[in-house]
Amino acid sequence: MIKIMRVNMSNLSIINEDVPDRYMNLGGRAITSQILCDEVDPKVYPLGEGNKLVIAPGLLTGTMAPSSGRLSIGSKSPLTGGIKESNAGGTAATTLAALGIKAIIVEGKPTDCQKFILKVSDKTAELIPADELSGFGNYQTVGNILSKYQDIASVISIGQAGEQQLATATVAVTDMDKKPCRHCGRGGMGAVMGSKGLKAIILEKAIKKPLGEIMDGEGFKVIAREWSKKLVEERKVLTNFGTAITMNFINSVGGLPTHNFSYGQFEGVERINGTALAERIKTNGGKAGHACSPGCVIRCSNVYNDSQGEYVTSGFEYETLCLLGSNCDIDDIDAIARFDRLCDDFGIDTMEIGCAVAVLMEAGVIQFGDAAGTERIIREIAEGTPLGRVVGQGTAVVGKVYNVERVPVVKGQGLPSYDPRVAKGTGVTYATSPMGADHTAGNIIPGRYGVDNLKPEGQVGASRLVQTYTTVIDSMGLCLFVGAVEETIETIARLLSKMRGQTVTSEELLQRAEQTIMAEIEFNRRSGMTANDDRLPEFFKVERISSQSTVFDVEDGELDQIFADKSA
Amino acid sequence: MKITVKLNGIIRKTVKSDTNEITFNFPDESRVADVLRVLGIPPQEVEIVIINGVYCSNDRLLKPNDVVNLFPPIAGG
Repeated sequence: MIKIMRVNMSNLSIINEDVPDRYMNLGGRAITSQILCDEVDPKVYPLGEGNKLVIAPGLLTGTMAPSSGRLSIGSKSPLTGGIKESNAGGTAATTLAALGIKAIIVEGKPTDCQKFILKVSDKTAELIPADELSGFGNYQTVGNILSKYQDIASVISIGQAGEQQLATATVAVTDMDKKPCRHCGRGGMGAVMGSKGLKAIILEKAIKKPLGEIMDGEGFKVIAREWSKKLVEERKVLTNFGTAITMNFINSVGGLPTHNFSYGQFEGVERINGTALAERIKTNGGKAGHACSPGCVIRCSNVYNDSQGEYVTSGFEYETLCLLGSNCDIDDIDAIARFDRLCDDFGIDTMEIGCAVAVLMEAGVIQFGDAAGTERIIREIAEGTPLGRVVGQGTAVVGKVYNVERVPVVKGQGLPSYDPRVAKGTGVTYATSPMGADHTAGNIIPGRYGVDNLKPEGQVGASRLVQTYTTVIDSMGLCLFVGAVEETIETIARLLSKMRGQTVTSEELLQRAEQTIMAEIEFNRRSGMTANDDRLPEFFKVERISSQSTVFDVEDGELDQIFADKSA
Repeated sequence: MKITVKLNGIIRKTVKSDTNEITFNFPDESRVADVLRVLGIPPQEVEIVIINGVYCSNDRLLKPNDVVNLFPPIAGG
């Protein structure tokens, strides 16, 4: 029997509810956003009693569909002030599906500062007082839990940043090695979890199974196997080099954020790119081709050791290497790996902190290229010093405190590692996604989707299409690296048809995804956002990027039209 | 004319090159497709061609001192 688990932190009750019919065909981002729209007043204080944290596996999670183990966490974001869905790999989503949990809704707020663990098995769920974990990072929290409890499959936790309810706080999810290195990174989901007094959710082992019955199991298996085989073959580059392989490409098109989004190319790129990472991993006895979640066939994750062969971090990604590397003029890959480890441990979004530190460098608080200074600031976040708290509230707050003009944010969220002047379609996504500046919401990678990345024409249409594809993928629990293209949507439709025993079409999936996006946009509108929030910062429109001598020149009026035909 | 070719990711393995970058002399009027043919790179292995920072197709005519960046299918992250 699949259920929705409602955890009330005001009165410490846990109630299992039947899944309403209208939620049955929703998963991942579609269900987290729909529950928020149904149950949360968009005007509530994000860290108050009225906000809710919704945690959900995708519709395909637990099935044989490849790379379908992503976990969605949704809430009203303390960073953007709007709706948020942030997703991560790791082991939690498949375990939730195995436990028959469609979603966990965490609501209310404890009256004192007590901390709790939510422990879930296939028979019981309980809230256990956990003040002894207070002040621990994610690594120590997970270590402590694993030594105390038996048969734990997965831990979802927050570090010091989440306990301090900082807007850059993440929710960590343990990977296949039980390391808390996969994060729902964006939008301060860890702060919301912290505001609920929830330090961790621990999930007991259960036999892998999907949520609900698959009507034509054999038919499903055939499609899933065929798709897995194709992905193994076509994603070898990601398996061998990880996401860092993207760096040379973005650098060569002149869109690699460097020196706080001043230049599109970085002199030190060869020291921090995919090849450098792969060589380092090989030399130091790390691991490439590491799966972050059960059933992942792409295996783009990694384990990174230092030169003594000691473990430093896992899941060391392109976005971290760029935003805490090139964007801060730092070309020391070992230093960036340490930043990654500290951020994972403290539960901080590496992307937001990379943007925030670069703005701090622009303000002259520390110098560009200062790796030791960057490490000190990251540590200050965990320590809760005044500077740590400022940086821990994100890029926009740093810009405001230090009066910096060039602050790369949309809806208060720091920009990812694709300069929007060069990747103009991705820039449209940054501006218009209800999530704020988010490359995973619709990345128009130069050379794809039939538009010229340096011209404004066609970018809005491409962004809309890919935002819609991406929403389908995020609702299935699939990793984005299965490819946000039409063919993927068709494959998903075929899989769902076998699952339900009736035809599901691509058109239906795309329509449902648009409904999700429109519901999110409506949530944001009711929270007080206007068209003025769908804009890139002014400097991208007036300051030419030296690599390509171009500005972000997609007209505001065109941005406003992106989903206009769907609005009421 | 002198052309610099940058081999990214597994394309370097396909070419069996010891370095990420090689420089060649190509006849005038050569195109990207000729570079792939000479280096023995199957066209399906190259998703994206960037010449001097600009996305190009395989039939783009080469000019002296062009820097041709060849990328296999990739994703961001």
